[in-house]
Amino acid sequence: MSKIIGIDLGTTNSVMAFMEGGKPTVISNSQGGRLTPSVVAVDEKGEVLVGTPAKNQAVMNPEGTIYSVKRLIGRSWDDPEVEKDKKLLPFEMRKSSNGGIEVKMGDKWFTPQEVSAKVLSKMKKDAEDFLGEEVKEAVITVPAYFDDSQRQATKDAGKIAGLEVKRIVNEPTAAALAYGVDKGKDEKVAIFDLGGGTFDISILEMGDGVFEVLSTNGDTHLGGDDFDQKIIDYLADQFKNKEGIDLRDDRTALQRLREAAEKAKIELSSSEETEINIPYITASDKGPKHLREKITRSELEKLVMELIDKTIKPCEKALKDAKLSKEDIDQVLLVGGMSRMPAVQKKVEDFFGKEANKGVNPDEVVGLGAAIQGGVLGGDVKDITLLDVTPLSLGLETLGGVMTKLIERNTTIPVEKKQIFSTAADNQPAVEIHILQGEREMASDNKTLGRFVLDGIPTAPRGVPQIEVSFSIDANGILNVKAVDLATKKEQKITITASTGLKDDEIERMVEEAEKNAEEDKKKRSRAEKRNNADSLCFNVEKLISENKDKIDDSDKEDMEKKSEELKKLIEKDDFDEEEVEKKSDELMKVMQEVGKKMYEKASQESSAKEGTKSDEKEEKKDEEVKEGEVVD
Amino acid sequence: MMKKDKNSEENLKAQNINSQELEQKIEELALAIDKVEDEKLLVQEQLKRALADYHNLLANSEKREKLRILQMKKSLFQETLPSLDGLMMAILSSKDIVLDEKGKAWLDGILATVESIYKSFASIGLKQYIPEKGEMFNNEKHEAIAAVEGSNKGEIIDVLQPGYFLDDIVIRPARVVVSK
Repeated sequence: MSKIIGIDLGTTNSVMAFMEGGKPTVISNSQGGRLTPSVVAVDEKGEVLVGTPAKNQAVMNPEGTIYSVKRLIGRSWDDPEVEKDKKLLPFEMRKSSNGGIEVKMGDKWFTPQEVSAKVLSKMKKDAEDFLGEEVKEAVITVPAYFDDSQRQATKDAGKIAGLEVKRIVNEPTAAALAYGVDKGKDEKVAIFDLGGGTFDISILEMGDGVFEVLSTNGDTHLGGDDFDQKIIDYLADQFKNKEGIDLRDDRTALQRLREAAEKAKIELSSSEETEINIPYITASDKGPKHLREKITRSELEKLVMELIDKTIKPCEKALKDAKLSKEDIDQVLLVGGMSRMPAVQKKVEDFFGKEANKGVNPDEVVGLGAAIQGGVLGGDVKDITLLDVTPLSLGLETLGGVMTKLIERNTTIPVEKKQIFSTAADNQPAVEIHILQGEREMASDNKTLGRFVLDGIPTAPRGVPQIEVSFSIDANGILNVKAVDLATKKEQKITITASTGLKDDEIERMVEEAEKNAEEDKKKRSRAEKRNNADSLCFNVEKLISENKDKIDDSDKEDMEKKSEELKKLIEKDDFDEEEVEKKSDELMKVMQEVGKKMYEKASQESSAKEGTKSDEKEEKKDEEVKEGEVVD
Repeated sequence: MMKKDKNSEENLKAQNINSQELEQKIEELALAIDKVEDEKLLVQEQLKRALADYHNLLANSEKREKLRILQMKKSLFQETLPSLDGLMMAILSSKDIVLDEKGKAWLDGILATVESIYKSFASIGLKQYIPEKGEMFNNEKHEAIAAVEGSNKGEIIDVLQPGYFLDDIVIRPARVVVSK
């Protein structure tokens, strides 16, 4: 039986894990990395890049590189949150035909689901390489505040990537699972999640195997990157005061400063003081300049206190929404890389008045929890029965534009609720079922998930026809609504794929496209590799000739130059013949090897002639390495 | 006779009770067997999973071990790279200084030391990589730190920091400025 992997599909980075020997284990990619940057790009040649390669080329292709797509998934174009992100994100976006969002990569438009699917596809492949078996099923986590359409969109992303999403789990629930919170106990737990780009606070109630999300709050634009920037600015300002040079104007200096700032931040989590030491960071006419700056933990805390303080208001609001006081919270769990910072921990502990749990790697805890959930579903884990709840109430619009709730928020799922409704006017032939999600009283204040019309109702005075409406939510939180006229047994139903979601056939098409593209991408990559290899071969040949003008016979030189020219011409064309390039490359390689052999033979003859001299080869190598060093300038 | 009859009646009664008790016992035993069977199935299932995990682990152990060593070496080198960068910058900045004979000899010594450091690192798999100016950007080996106007799109214009390979895996891409 294949494993169900757990995936923490993050805003900045994603993590995956699986159950092994009863314990959740993080899956590394072949490069040894445990995190996959949630970045996707389409480059000049139309090739899709995912993860680190996409991140590496982001500054040269800002319009074609998509990150933070989690901020957009399942949202509508007019969503106020999206309004904010439209100003911050550098890539092009447009309203899709169904009111959702599309982003532009290369010359094509993609839904956020398709972009996320590319990250998931890569993770699926990495997991398969790691496990040595096919991976078909996954559990994916989402923030607790994600509504039905965001959950459905995340599920669709999994489907496009070729994964059957067995369950969508709330991130705080996954964190609680990974922390091994005892579900049997009746406890209220606060989950404080300060990651790379977002901050979330969730209050969960546990008991009888149910994790109930009482409230959530947060700041969608607060995270580790803001902390790093504060340190960078501080160090650059200090340096400018002392030396009169702004390091932010020098790219190399800024890059080294960025690394050092991040390192200092980590070091100050375990020690009271650290020295930031960047020798030769820049130079003036008086000679090289070094950055040596001692920074204490308390200085760092002063710098970032304003950011840490920003987490408190959301905590207060979350408690208020959950109708709890600080004293009611039994446990506080820390999640997200920034929660390692002692000042952050202290702030949280002071606020809640109790020590926080910090035993599990905060970068991986959500992914590990997702794996445990996968283990529960796959039968690897026996002692947990995990039930999830609906995050928001569901109901329909009734007379006077009122929302009548059928399923209250925090109801354990799966669930089915039925209620009988009737007509509002005499001889009304049809009723419209307007499905709503939210906590507000008036229909217009809540979110519309879908509508359908049940017609053919026999003429009757108002209030007489009996229309049974049933709402059922499956284990993934996906809603099905059905209306039956009890007199005629005529029925209408709808599966909520959300207003901005994708229809099944659209998903099918995207799955097919993804598969087709995988094949095409492979082909494109192979062509690109052949071209690159040929290109670097020509480059090496030219280098060999120019560096050894007097050591190579003229005929060999001509031969190499001719072949190299031919090869170059070949790869200039976009539709080059792969086989021909390969053939020509081989030929050129052979000639080059021949020439190299001749040069060595010549050198060894010469060196045996001059007895006692050192190996020329060694001398040459040294020269070359120094030369390489100069290129950096 | 009567007594005998009475006896046999009592016997019958006793037998009845006995058989009732027996039936109850059998039922209890059957339930117990069911329970044990269930437990056996559960244990068998767990054993199967444990065995499967164990076999997978065995099959993957070599791969995992390699990965673990790679991760260890990677974190060790990632910790060291900023110092190597510093050393590199020190050597580069020497070209702006007018050195006398003694100074030049001193610099040669430093260069030789740096070379030996790189050699030792190379023996454990670390390889420095400095792209040439004019080379085309490669998203696996290079990280674009900036893009500036230039004649040939995608060409490397400047190299800010060298890249490093560990056993043919990029542990740090070369940081470059690219033409856009």
